[in-house]
Amino acid sequence: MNEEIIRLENLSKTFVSGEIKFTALKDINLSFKKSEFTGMVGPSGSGKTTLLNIIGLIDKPTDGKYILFGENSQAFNFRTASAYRKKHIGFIFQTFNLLPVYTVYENVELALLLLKKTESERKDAVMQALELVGLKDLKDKKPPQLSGGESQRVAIARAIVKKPEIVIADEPTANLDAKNAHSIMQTMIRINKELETSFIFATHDEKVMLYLSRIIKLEDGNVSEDIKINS
Amino acid sequence: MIKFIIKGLLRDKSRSKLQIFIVTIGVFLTVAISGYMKGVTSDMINETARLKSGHVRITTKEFLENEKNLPINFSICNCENLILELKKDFPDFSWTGRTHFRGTILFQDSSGNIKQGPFIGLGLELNSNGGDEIKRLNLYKAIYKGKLPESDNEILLAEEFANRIKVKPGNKLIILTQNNDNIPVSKEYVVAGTVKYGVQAMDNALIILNLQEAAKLLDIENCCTEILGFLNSGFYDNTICENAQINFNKKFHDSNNPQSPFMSKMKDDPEFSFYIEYMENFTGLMATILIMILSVVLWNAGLLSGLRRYNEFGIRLAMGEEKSQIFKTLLLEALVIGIIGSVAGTILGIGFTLILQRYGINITGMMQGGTMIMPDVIRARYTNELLYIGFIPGVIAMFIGNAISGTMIFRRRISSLLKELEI
Ligand SMILES: Nc1ncnc2c1ncn2[C@@H]1O[C@H](COP(=O)(O)OP(=O)(O)OP(=O)(O)O)[C@@H](O)[C@H]1O
Ligand SMILES: [Mg+2]
Repeated sequence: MNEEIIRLENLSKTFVSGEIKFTALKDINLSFKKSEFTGMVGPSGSGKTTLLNIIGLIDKPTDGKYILFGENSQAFNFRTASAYRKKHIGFIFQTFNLLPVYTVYENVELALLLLKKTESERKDAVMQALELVGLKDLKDKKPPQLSGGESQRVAIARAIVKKPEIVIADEPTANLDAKNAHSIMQTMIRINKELETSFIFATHDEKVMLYLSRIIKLEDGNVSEDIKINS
Repeated sequence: MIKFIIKGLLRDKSRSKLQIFIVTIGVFLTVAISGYMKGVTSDMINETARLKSGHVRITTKEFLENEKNLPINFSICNCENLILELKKDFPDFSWTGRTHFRGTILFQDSSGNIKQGPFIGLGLELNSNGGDEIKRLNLYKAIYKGKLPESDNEILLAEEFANRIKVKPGNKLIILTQNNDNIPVSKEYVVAGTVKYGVQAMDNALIILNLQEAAKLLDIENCCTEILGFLNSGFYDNTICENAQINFNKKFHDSNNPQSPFMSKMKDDPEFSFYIEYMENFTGLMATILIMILSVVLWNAGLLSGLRRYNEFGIRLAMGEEKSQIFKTLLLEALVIGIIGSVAGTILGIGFTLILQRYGINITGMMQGGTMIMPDVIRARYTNELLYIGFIPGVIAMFIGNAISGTMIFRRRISSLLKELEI
């Protein structure tokens, strides 16, 4: 339960565009344990997305270390990073980003196709994931036919179907109404409990904060507070 | 995964519409233009063969070398027997003798003055061989005024020629020429009719008479200046003609005897062979240009459709699919789209060709002169080459175009691909 899966040491990120340099993350030191339910909060531009991208191996830090499952990610090339994302990290996006031409079932299945699972393994896992998010009945619908809440549930199912250790969610409730936001959060909490998945959010949403077990406040690229909540 | 990609491709029709459209148009144009060019080429070949050179042609070497003067004393003799042998040895061809000679005609102008002018005489087998030559030269249709000759002392004149010297059917004129022994001979003939072909070789000072009559006049009985062979298929085939040429010359030609018969084929004429090669290169050139233009267009279309799919690519990358894998699936899609478009374009192009093969376009009056003889109706011609002449370039261009646009898309970092998604 207290196993460390992510460690960030003196991590910073500087964007260079032409002459202009901008340091979005400054000397970040953080550690994440298995099955934590963490939210990054902070004003716009404070570096939440930048940090999530680094944790999700979508971007690389300029300085410092990012240690994932005990491995220094500095050594990862594109291929290794892809392999980590494919197996161990699930993504949930603010705008759901489902593939519109595929059915709910197929959208979720894609994560497993990439892992080269057999058809029956895929079927079992997809149905289980859809069950968890409560969408079994909608499996043959296509994304344009779904409501925002339903779409985000599909995105959750897609992120967790491969049973990753980490799920990264950037503003997952920003496009949802209050009722759907709460329901999505409850679903994620349940998955967090049942599958011991670590969730890391970036959020502005007060409703999300109600559910968090840990809140990390970012300000101008610095961690200004790191609060663990014992529920 | 392949199934997944194909499923997406089939469901999202708008994704590939533009590209399919472009490929279809490009392939259609290539096939149609090639079919048309092939039609023009083979019509010109056939017309030239019919009116002038045959698919193969037998003369003496001596005649060939002095052809401009039409030296009748270098004729082939014993023609009838030779043709019988040819019919036996080369059943792929039909054979006929013709005689070309020069001379002067004497005629009375409207005020009764005797005038004279040069002409070219063409002796044809007008009343033997089941009227093959009449059919071959389309004489019934070519008759402009009057009728076909019914007896040996009747002749046909090229309409233009007759018009110039103001001679009408029923008029008499005197032909003056030299016979085989260089002795001047003359004979009076009646003009039976005039012919019009719309090609210089047949319209310029031409007089047509019966082959046997010409031989009698020139004192070269049972001889003719040339024997022409026509492939029964109706289309020039260089391989068959070349084989016939080799076999014939081995058997009949004696290189020490310039008077012995010698077979040449159409392609031996440098002008003709230049033209054929030009046409063959033209098709290759078309295919190359198609690949280049289509590649550029499809590359841009690929960028457009790729732009629409940043979302999908970003997600797939975030989910851990490798760039190379996505790139491969992109090329697979390109292949499928390329094949669909190329099949459609090829079918349309061949359809167009077949229609044009059947109905043709009338170009009378558009073309004149030259030694290549142009027909007045241009038809397309279907050959099996049309099955791949557009198809292969279409698929290749689709591949190249999408490879370039794919490379450009995937050169971006994933974080920027995702940024454009506004996650
Ligand atoms: N690729 C980039 N190039 C240059 N600057 C960047 C780039 N990506 C982010 N930034 C800058 O880094 C800072 C942090 O951006 P980030 O997207 O992490 O903020 P955020 O906390 O997620 O904000 P928001 O709440 O609005 O999503 C911003 O000032 C942003 O302009
Ligand atoms: Mg952000």
